[in-house]
Amino acid sequence: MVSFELSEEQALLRDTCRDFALKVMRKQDRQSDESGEIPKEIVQQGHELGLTTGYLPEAYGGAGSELSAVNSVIVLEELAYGNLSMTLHILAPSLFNIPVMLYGGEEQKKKYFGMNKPDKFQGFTAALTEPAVRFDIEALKTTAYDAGDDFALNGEKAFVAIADSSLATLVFAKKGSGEGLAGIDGYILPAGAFAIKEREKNQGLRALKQFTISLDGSRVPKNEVLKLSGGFATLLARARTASTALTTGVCKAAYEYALNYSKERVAFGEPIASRQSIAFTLAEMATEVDAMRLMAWKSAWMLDKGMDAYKEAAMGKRYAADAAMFITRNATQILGGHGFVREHPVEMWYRDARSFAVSEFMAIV
Amino acid sequence: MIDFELTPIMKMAMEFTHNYARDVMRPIARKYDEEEHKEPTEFIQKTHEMFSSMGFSFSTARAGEEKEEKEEKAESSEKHSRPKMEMNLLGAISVEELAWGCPGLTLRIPGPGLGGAAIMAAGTPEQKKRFMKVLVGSKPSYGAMALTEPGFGSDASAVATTAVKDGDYFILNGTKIFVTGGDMADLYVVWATLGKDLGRAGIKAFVVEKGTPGLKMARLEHKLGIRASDTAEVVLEDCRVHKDNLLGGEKKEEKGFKGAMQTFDATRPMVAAMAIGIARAAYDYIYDDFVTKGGLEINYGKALHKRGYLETVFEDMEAKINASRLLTWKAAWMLDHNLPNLKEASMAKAKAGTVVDEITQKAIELYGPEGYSRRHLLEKWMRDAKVYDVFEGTGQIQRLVVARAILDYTRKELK
Repeated sequence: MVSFELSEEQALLRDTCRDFALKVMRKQDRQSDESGEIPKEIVQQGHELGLTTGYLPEAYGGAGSELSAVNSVIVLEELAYGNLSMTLHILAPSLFNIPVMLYGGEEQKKKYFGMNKPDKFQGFTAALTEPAVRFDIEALKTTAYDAGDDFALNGEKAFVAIADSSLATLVFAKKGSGEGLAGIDGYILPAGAFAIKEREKNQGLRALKQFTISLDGSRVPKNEVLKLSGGFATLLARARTASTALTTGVCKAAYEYALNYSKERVAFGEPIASRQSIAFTLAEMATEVDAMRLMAWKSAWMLDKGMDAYKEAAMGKRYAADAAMFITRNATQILGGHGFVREHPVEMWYRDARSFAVSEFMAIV
Repeated sequence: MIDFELTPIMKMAMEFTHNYARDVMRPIARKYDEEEHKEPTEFIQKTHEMFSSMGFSFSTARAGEEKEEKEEKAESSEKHSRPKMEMNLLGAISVEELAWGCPGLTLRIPGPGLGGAAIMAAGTPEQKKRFMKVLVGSKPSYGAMALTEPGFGSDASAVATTAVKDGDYFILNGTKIFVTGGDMADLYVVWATLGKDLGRAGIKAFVVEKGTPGLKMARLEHKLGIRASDTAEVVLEDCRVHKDNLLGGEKKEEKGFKGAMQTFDATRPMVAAMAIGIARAAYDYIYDDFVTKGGLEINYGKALHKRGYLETVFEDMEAKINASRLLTWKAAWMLDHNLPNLKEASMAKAKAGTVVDEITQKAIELYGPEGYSRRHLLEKWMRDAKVYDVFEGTGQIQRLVVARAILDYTRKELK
């Protein structure tokens, strides 16, 4: 039965995350963007909300809450509404834990989930994107070569979030040659098993530590391989659904800010919001925020139902990334010159929002 | 709990209306576009029989009133008992399919129509019962909405048609234009003012029955699209209407103009759903040629530099249709659950109105010269589409409604 209403539990989740976004993340977003550092306490507080590991099974020391894509998109929207860089840092462990939960063997779960601590944030991450112009997920250049007892990984990965502080990194690499998603598996590498190169410097996401890493024959024992058995497409659908939700959050932040500003800013004797050119733009922004949220919900719901959400997720992600440019651009436009200066956060959201169309696997549900 | 699973009734309705659209409406869509003003008599009769035998009608209602209705239902003919609840979502799902067949013919389907929607939004329980009995009867009937006048369109507060009290009657005088189905209606909901000095509070809706002396259909419009549905000019000359036909009753002062506006909460999602149906018709038409027969591959999620122009155009069209549909379903669902949906209904309508124009235009461009030919329905759909960004409130009015809602502005604060 169709419903657009959050359950009580989901509403509580939303409110908790929104509270954290506004009262904690927003307080230090500009400072973090300027300094390139996210205060450790914020990450720790996010962790204590149960956001990073809440879904880990009790048997492995987790809280055992159900892994629900719908719940996750609700969380992701609210956190990204606070700050995108912080969200991607706090939720980086899911990039590792969720694939392990879905495709990992008993031993792997025991080993890695056991490394998570309820009271302390533990870094985990995944490495997918490569430093290539026109990066193509279907033509991964990082290879896994069967060297008998273990695999040898060769290649370079880029934009790996918190690689410097992760206990383990899930590296996606391909066996054999040829294009397509087939043959892609996850390879678990502990800290120190690969070289961390430079820290990425991006247009946006400046507070998030991302790195280029180099795999120069790094060895991965066979029991540390996360065999996806064709499940990589599902992981992508889960990551793209997450992307749509993150986009919704950033867009909602920019839209709301512009909305409030337009009511306060007076020109020609009245608030600029009382002019149709501003008001209509805001109406369209509001509509697009709603539309992308519904698309995120829909593909998340499909994932939870066990349906194939590959197409829905890809389409939603692309739609949202496009609309995000419309929304954040117009948010800066409505603020006029004030939208261009770093005193207001809209320019930061405009920069952050550009990432969605070009990034894969920023977060996962 | 967020859920997108349709009920079995909805799935059945979707399949049924789709098949009906494909097998009955599509084959005659061109004929009634070319032969404007010709009544699709057989279609009307057949559709009426079909839907009434299923106990199906596309009336819209608020959930609370639906309940009221249900209680009163006991004595009304069981033949017309409707599937319970979520009539708006069910309606949105069904009219999308029907409009996919032909939007003009969809508007010709007998039933409560816009007049019925106004009665449901502004009428007293007694009026709803009395008039719906006429509109959901054994013979095809239709309820029309007569609001627009030569002197105004979007500004519904500018009603110039007058209603002057004369004992138990009101005497109506004025001219109404753009009355959808105005040639065939059994009931007209006519909006008139009790006095200009009363402003919006003086605007009332009167149900005028066919054959009432002084009510006359003056002429039919010649239109760009939806030609299978006639749009009439209706003139009221000293037309006497009993006070019992004043929607909401004489005492409920506040319901008049607000009642008209509440009608839109229910009709806008339906109009949006129809627009989506047209957009999908055009999309499916070119999809069949380019993808099914032409071998074009749409690689969702593939790297952009590896994708051709056409596949991204197809994906964008589909995404816009999906986005638009979700907004529409949400607006309809909210009304079904008695949640205020003014903003969402306008969002859905504004979005669908834009999307359907864009997609139908683009479909012709992709099809090439042949797309411009009347051999194909693409050109018709583009013509049909235009009115969806105009009637039931233009795209600009929808944006105004949304903007006032999000800014919490009055009409004075945002003109």
